[in-house]
Amino acid sequence: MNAPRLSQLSVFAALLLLVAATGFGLWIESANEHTSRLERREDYAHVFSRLAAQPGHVPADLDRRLHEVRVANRIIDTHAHAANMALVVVLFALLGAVLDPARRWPLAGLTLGAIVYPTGLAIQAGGAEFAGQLVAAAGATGVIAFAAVMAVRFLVALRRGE
Amino acid sequence: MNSAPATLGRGAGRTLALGGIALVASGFALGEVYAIFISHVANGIIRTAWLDVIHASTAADGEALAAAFRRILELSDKRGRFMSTHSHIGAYGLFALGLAIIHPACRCGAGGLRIPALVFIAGAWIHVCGTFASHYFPLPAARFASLGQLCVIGAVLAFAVAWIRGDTAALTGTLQPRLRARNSRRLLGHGLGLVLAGMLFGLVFALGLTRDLEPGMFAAVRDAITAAAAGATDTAALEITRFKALQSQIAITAAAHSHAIEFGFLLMLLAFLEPFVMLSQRWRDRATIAVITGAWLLPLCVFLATIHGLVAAAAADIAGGITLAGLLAMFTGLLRSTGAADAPAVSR
Repeated sequence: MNAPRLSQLSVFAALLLLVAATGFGLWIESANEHTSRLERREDYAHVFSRLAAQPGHVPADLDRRLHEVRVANRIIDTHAHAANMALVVVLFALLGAVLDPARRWPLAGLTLGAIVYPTGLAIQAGGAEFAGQLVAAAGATGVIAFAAVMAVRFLVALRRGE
Repeated sequence: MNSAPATLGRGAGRTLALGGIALVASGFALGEVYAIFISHVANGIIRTAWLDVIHASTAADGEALAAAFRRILELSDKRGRFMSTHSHIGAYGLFALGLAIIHPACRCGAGGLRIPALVFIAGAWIHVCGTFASHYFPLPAARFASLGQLCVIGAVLAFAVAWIRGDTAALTGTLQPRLRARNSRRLLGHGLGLVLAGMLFGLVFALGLTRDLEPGMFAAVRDAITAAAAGATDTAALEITRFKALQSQIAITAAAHSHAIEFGFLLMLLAFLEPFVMLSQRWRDRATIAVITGAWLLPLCVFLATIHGLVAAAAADIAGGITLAGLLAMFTGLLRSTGAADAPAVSR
């Protein structure tokens, strides 16, 4: 696969990732009565109301409610990071085609990492906390490593062009 | 007078570039209003309301508890809607700029991409206006916001199809000359640096978040409830204060991370548009330096706000103002370039 074709496929994948992120955002709003549970603090309100109704008793569902808050955090993280990853890929693919067309594997790695990272966050939101953390960490590390390699090569190319 | 090599042209590119900068600038302005008038004030009131929650729950006073949570809910919702509007408006602006850059390589029918570009910008505004209004009119405004999101999805799909049918090799020839200008190189270099710094900071922050901050925050809530159940009001109040402090620390640190990356994106995107800024070279340099300076200072000052509080937060507000001023100067220059593009057509 030549460099322009790889850039084209990467940007295409990024645009689809953006569509997925926006669609996921639409679902977040619809599934949470158009506002996030995180913002409304309903889970906190629930446990304290239970405590006030039964003084002296720690609510039995305390841990489950706190878990719900954590899940809400991860859902929003997934949405935001998927959208930002899409922009990372678009920008680095364009710059790769212009400034460093010879080197293709960092862009392929970056694109893969950009998809894996929000997937890991989504897995955490789904309840598999540890597995999701591993997948997200692998994706994030890949994105940072490949972005760093590409950025250094871009800066060298910019300096050469001066 | 100016050394701009070309103009923005007409059609989708112009709509997306000008619409994108307008969205980003509006996001900055809203962020300033949020930081100065909403965030700091709401934080103090919410902290007091949480202490009221502790006192009401240990006293088994259901009415006082409901009143305290109403205050928390009201302010959290208001703050959340503002925050959501601020972050979405900025993100849509950045994506509009990204689409403005890739659109010359897209291939589509006779109508071009003008309509998808207009739908994207309109959808973005509909979504953010709906999000903002949903605090005051929850259901109708939220439906309006969802309509905006659907418009954005449709427009991006149209661009994706046109992009995959297009000619990427031709884009390289279009973009290469844009990065020859000194200011474009400055913007690109600093943008790359900021994005990488923001990502590395995010990785370190995520480690701290999953290992210490988030477990600590939930442990504080658990301890507060356990203490309140045992009637130890003072301990419960201390724990809930610790919970609020950790919650603020997480929110502010996450904001520093996201602002660094978003400002890095902005600088990188502006690098492709700077050659079209039709201002004198001196003013182009000033605008570039203002945007770069503010872009580095704002996330740094936001992070320092976790240590130095309001003084650093005020410095972050000033940094946001500097970036906004530079961005508006660039916007003016881009508007002038569209006038130059239209002038020959008008005279004909």
